[in-house]
Amino acid sequence: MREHLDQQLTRLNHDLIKMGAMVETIIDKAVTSLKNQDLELAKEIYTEDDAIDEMELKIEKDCLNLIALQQPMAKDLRRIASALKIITDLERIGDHAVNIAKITLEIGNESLMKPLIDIPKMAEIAQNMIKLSLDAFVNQDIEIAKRAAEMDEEVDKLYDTVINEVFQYIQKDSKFLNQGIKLLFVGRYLERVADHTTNICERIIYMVTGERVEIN
Amino acid sequence: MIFFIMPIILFCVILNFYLFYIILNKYNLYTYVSDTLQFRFDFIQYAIAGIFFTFIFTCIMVIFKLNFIINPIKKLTNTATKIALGQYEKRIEFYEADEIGQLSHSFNLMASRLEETIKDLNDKKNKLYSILNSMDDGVIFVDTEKNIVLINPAAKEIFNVKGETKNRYILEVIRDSRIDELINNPDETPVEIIMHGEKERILQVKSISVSDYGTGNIIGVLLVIHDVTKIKALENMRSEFVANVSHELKTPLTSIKGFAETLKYVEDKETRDKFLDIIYVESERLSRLINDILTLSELENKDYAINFQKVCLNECITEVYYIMERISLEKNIRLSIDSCEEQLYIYGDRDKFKQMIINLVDNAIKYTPQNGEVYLKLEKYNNNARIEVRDTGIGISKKHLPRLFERFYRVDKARSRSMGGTGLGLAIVKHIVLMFKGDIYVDSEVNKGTTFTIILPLFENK
Repeated sequence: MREHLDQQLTRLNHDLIKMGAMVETIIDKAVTSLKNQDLELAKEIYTEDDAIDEMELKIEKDCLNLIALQQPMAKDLRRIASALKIITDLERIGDHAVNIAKITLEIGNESLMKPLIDIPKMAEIAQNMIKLSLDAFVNQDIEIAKRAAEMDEEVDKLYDTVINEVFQYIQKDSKFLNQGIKLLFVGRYLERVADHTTNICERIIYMVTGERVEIN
Repeated sequence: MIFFIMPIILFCVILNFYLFYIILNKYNLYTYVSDTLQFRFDFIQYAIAGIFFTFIFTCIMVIFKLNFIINPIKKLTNTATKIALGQYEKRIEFYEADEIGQLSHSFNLMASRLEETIKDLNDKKNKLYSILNSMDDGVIFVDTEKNIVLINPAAKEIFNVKGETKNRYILEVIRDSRIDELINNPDETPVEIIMHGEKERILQVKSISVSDYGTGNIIGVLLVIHDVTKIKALENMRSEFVANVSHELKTPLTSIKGFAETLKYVEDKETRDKFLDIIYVESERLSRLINDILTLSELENKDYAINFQKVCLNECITEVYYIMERISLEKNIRLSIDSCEEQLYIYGDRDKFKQMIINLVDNAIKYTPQNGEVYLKLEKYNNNARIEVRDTGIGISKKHLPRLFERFYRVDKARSRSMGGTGLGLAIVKHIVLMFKGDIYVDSEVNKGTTFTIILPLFENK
């Protein structure tokens, strides 16, 4: 019976990593499509998000089955509970990727008001955070998780820079208003992505140590 | 063994029979049975003595012969342990023809068979690994549970994998959901995957489901990863080149055609002369372009070495200096030359060498404003000739430097064309340098100037 639980936990682990990988790819695609104004790539994101949503439901079902049928305890239970929470965050990140893709499609081939610098930088850090948080999950390493969570501050700082910059543009000329607001939203979504990743990192720390920590 | 134990047993049996015989004789037990106490006492006494002697004798025999049994077994154990630890070449030395000897013999036989088999397996494994490790293409094999069984260094490099990989879940190591998808649907058609990141790379990944050679059951999926970034870039470059050539040829041709057509209806002499001038300039440009393209294709031809000879660099440089001096004076640019005293020779094509230097000096003069300076320098440098063309011109910004030697690459398209450049000058220079097996470097700072340095191997009398 216990061996069965171990196997199922390993599978749960694998599914979670798979979902993480999907999220990592989708964010990458969202930002690349915005940067290069690649509308085809932006459209792909919709189907990929559906796959992520399906994955969330599947993992949720598996977790509930595990709890109901195996009565896991201590670390195993913590792991399942953490998985349940982590997938919600991952799914939200996927949704934000779709939101960014939506804006990419709205901007379309209209030339960008300025070459994007800070937004790709934010995206890069956010992507790195997701990557590190998954590394932390895979290796059960709370040090990596802490490091990833600390990167949230950088994203927040960049978000402030983006806001200021867009405001300056809008004040200078109201024709930037439309695109400016859209870019503000992109910044906001990326900032949220970083926040969700911080949550995931907190979960991982809880999963490994059993202690609740509040980062930022 | 048997020769050792048999005498002991035989001796014991004989001894006991003898004691019994004494007792029987003493009490005449053949005829009557006595129940006196004396008899019982004597009997026990003799029996104890018998057992005691037998015991002593056995002990002596055992002590003397103990090593004889224990030593071979010790040896056997030691050797078996060593073989188990991987020293397959270990054997037992045996002399006796007894059971232990036979055991040792069989053991040695087993050990040599084991050594052979293991060596054979290791050989096969080593060959397989050497092949996989020296491959440029990445190879990953995962089992049915998607755990990595094998990953070669090329694949590790492509996906930037560090640390332990054996038996880990593929997505733990390479976190890319597209790889997972490929493993789920192995259909042997190469799929192109674009890896974003620091450097964008295009990978062609083929996934093949692998079945067991004997049983035919599917045992996993093999991924073969081919990095096609360079090939794609080359393809792009080729199509870009064709597009560029047609464009470059078409531009002057269109002007010539247009002005020639208009010329038919123009009566005014002044306009006519103006048009003819334009046609002349454009056809000049066209012929320059075609010449350059021909030079390039000639340089790409492998048979260029036919015209190779010993070329004196000092002479050539001075000749170039005199050719270019006139042009520089027209533009009021000071051209100076610094040739070394020692005569330097290379093995190459004299005309091509001069063309290379002329191209560089011409460029330097073109992109240097009036009252600027251009230096031409030749020196010996570590058994190589080093030629430096330095100007105080407008310079080239860093981002253009990597693509500077590409054909038709122009830093400023409009300016370069207005100066009559074909966009092929530096491409020709690069080709000639490569032909002479040399190297070319460029160093530049915007508004300060540009320095081209060419290093050529000197001619050696062989």
